[in-house]
Amino acid sequence: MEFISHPEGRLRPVRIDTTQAISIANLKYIYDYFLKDHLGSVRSVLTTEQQTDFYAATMETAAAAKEDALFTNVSATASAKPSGMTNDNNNQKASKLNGDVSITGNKRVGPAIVLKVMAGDTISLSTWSWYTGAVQPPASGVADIATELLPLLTGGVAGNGGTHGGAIPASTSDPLLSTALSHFLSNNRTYVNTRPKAFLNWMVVDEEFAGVSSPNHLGATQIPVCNAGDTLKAVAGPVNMVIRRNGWIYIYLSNESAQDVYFDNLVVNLRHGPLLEVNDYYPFGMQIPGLSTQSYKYQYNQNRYKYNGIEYDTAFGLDEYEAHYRDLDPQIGRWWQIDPKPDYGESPYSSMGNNPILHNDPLGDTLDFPDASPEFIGQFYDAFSYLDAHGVSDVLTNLQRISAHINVRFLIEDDGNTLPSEYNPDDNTIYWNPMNGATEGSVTISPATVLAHESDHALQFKTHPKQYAKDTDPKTGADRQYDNKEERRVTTGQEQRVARALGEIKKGQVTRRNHQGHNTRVSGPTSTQSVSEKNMFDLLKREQEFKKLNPKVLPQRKIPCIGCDGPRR
Amino acid sequence: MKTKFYFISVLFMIFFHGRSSAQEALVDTIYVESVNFNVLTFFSVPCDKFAATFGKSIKFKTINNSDTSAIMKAFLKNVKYKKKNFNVDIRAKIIYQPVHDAVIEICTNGYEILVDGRLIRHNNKFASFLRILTM
Repeated sequence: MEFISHPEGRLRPVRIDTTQAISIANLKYIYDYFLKDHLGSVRSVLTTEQQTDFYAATMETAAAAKEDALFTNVSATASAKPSGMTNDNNNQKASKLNGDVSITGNKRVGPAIVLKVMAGDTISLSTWSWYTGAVQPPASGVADIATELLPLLTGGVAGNGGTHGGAIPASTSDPLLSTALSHFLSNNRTYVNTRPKAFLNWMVVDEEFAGVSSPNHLGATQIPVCNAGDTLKAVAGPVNMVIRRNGWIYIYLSNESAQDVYFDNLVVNLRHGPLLEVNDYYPFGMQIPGLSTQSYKYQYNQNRYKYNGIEYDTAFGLDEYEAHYRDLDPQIGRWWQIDPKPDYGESPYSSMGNNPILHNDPLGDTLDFPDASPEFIGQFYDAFSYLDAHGVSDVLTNLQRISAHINVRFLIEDDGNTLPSEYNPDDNTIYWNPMNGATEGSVTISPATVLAHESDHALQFKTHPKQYAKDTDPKTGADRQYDNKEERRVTTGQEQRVARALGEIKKGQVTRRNHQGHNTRVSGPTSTQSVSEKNMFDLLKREQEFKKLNPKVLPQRKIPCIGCDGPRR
Repeated sequence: MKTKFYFISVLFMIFFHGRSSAQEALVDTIYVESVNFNVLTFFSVPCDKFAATFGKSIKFKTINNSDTSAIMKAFLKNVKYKKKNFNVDIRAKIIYQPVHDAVIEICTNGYEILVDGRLIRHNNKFASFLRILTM
């Protein structure tokens, strides 16, 4: 199992001890949260996972295979430790760099690594250096160091795999990299000529390989003075530097002086922040590669729920969105299947009513949301997806399959009165508030369950109108416990089934044994968690803004139809 | 003489006008508050929470018709109460304010009727009358 899906995020199992096999005892669950826009498209994924990656280039023979896989120029520059460098007998090797590359075997650029970083990550760098004898000036008559750096950098990126499924072609990255490197080499290195021109270097570039100008994102630390008799000396890079932009960090050691400088134990400590993914879309859902990115993490499976919250399917190179009823081709902005309830004003293949900025269509279906704001529609589909994920969306699904349109309207509250959700057969409308759960006794049910309850009334009215009329008639349908037979049918049937499937009631428990209760303000359409007084003010304020957005200024929208009359494929 | 005649005429007019206004104020008043009877709410709505629950969706109506008042009075005179009360999911609340008597509060779901919070025996004609008032 890769994860447990939820409209607001997911639970991701990871191994506690990565060296051990998967078992219940060796698993923990990480919460990933989706940040969605007004269309329900997942724009960012945030995680609660705390993860720190530790990279070290010791240059020792025993670790060479692993270090060569992570770093470049480890074995190529590794050399037996010279006399006087260290008294530690376990330390047998160091990276030897010499700027006079006209002599065969000398190298100016030592161990280097390219790492994917996300905004919010923190990084610390350090190494050790040593040299002996008089300080020599930089070697003359040799090519610029940038000519050595560039291939290492592009090679490193390719080695890690490109952000978007493949290596980044050098042809596209080189010009930008050249600019970043040139800027870096000329402006950000403080060179003191009483010490060798040897540095611990780091450079953060963004997704497009342009240098990031935030403080300390391009930097270098020159090695300290080594007097006669000194052993290895610490070279401190940035400590807990917070990365400001998504991109890459390139870390390398260098020496341009015409003398041997030894580096040892280059250590990179990368603590991942909460940001896992950033997604940006073209209007009909195609991802913008230059703006979208994701963190590289061990045991991480990419979130596939993206545009409109629909699952993105890359199998067989299809690259299409697999909605509940139809498949959307984001390149052309058209569904692959026709609309079984077509609006004759537009093509049955058209998506989002040809206005993807205003409308969304997470299911590939239809329902009418007169005067609704996109936020409300998004919350409705959040509730639907939640019901669907728990196998209890059948009533809503059937409601959409029938020929008549059902309206769903936001239940506007007035003067602090919390109106109960309702179904009105006269205007064929479900009035629902995505922030109102319902409580009776000790049980609180989510707005999603309330929606399922009202939807069942609507379905009954449309499919069995005579029975509905009889059961809701105060005389013929009278029921002392539930007020009328229709309420008894839904409350004891659909309501219990949904609440149980969603885990809102336990086995043997019921939501209520009557038609009583009161509204409970909850944090979202799938939540049963009542919001605190503190948050209530924010919610009410948000709702005021919501009401301003909601009303008549928006044209009546009609989401193109669902696979209402038949299966999707 | 002519001036005296006009003065007396004006006095008469003032007298009769004042008398007429006083008679209008003596008519019983019926205040009707109602919502759509077909609406199914998620919770039962009791009489005392009617206004708080339905808020601005309530339709208001005031009736100052002596015939309507007379019918109302007649129905109320003959109500028979049930021995036990139970909850009624109401959709209309009617306040009857007689000129010389205490205010009476009537709640109904279109079939069951509560008078001053007490459930009365089924009276189809009274229920129909109340529904007509809400139209």
